[in-house]
Amino acid sequence: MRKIAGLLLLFFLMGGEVCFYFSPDRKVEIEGKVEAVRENQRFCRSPYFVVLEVKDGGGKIFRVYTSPRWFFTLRPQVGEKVKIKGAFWDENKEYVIAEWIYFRGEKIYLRDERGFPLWSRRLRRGRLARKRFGKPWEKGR
Amino acid sequence: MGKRTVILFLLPFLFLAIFYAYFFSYVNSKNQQRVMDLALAQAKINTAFIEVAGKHLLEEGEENLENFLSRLMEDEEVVYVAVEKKGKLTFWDSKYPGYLPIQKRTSPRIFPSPIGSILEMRGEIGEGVFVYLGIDFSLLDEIKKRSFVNFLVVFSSLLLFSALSFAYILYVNHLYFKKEEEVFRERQEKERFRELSLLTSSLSHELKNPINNLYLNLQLLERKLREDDLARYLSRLKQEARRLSDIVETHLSLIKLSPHREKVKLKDLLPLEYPLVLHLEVDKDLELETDPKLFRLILSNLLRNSAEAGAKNVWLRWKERRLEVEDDAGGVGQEHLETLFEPFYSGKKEGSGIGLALVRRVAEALGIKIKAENGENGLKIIMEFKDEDSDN
Repeated sequence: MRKIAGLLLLFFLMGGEVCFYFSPDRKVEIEGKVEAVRENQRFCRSPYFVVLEVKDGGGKIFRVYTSPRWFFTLRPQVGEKVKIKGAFWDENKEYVIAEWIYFRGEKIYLRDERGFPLWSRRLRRGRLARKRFGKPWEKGR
Repeated sequence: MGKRTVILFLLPFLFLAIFYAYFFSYVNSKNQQRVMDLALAQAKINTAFIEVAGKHLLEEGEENLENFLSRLMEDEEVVYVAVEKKGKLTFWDSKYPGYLPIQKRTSPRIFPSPIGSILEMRGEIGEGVFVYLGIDFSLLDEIKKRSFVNFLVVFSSLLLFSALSFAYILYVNHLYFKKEEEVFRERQEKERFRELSLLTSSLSHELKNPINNLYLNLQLLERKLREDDLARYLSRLKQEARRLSDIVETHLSLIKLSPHREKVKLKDLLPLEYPLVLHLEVDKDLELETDPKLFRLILSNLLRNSAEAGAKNVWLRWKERRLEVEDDAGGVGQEHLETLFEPFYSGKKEGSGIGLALVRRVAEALGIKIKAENGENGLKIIMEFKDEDSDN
């Protein structure tokens, strides 16, 4: 398992694509300090994501996938205390997809309860709408 | 219009609106069900194809299957694809990063999502291996929305039409009752005038002979008396008796109005006995086809009325078969304008209320429509002549 995790990490560092999804059955709430903020991680088909490394009170580090960087402009700094609700996507319970993040007295919602990304608003149908707004999954690229 | 009438009128529209709402909801739900059935039937066929194709691809290798599914994702309508092996997802892709709302239930299935309805197809391509395909089915929501908009448009049009019809009927009803009221009032006035005429007729008839006798006796007495003073007094008494006789004659002629029309110049009809300055804003040769005696009576009454009201000037104007007589006595209150021509109505302390009533009676007999309004300087009486009644 450690090998797989290591491979995944290598994959991330190389800037490759990886697909994972928000499972409402595996929700979790974590509280801790931000250890690092990365910006170059991607979901498959997604724009570049902001990934937070959060260390909880027990010393465990979680990698929290938030949202595309254009959506998550007001982000926590290294050393800041955060509270996060999200869902694990890996077996090791290390990677989390965030539903909301609470810091500096403010709660920032990123997804709905079933994991629908709030930055991907449904656009009007038709060629004209696509021409005007682009395809939703290409937004922010 | 009474409450009962209003309710009776509105009830059919209300029933129509309820029937339409019920009919629409029934037809709409049926149509939606038909569309759903059709979509699910198509989805079942597609699932069968996916199962067959998926089996072949899986036999050739998982990579081929994943490539095939990735190619499907290029289609705009495909929201997500996934492969499940023994209860765990081994491959997935979504148009919305991280969002994979697979249902893992009976297939095909339509369920709601933030992007609208999604049609999910689930096909078994191997033992414990399933393929999921989520299709954007928000078109169904759009059909529902458009259908509802259509309903709202028709329903509001129906309500608007009802409201307009109701308003129109109320308006016509109002006009009808107003006209009926006018006719009733006119009938009442004629009735009163007829009674007045009967009274005047009998009174005049009774007075005529004694006044004539008085006049004749005064004439005889005047011949026999030579004293100047007495003769002067007698002359005055005779004049008054003559005047009384004239008044009685006039009233008798009014009761039996039978106009004798002829062409006559307006300037020849003007009574000049009143202390008024007459301003003629008419053609000096203006001719009217009317009864000179009766029309002079109208003008005489109008001018006397103005003089008694304190007017110094009177203007006579001729505009498009309308003769306007306006004085400078300041006019009357708006509330008195409507009752000005009614018998026994007078704004003056010593007035009998007969003068203007007689004016209208005579005007009607001559075919002249008469009305009063307040002009710039004072009361303005407007007489509208019928086409055949005047020659200009």
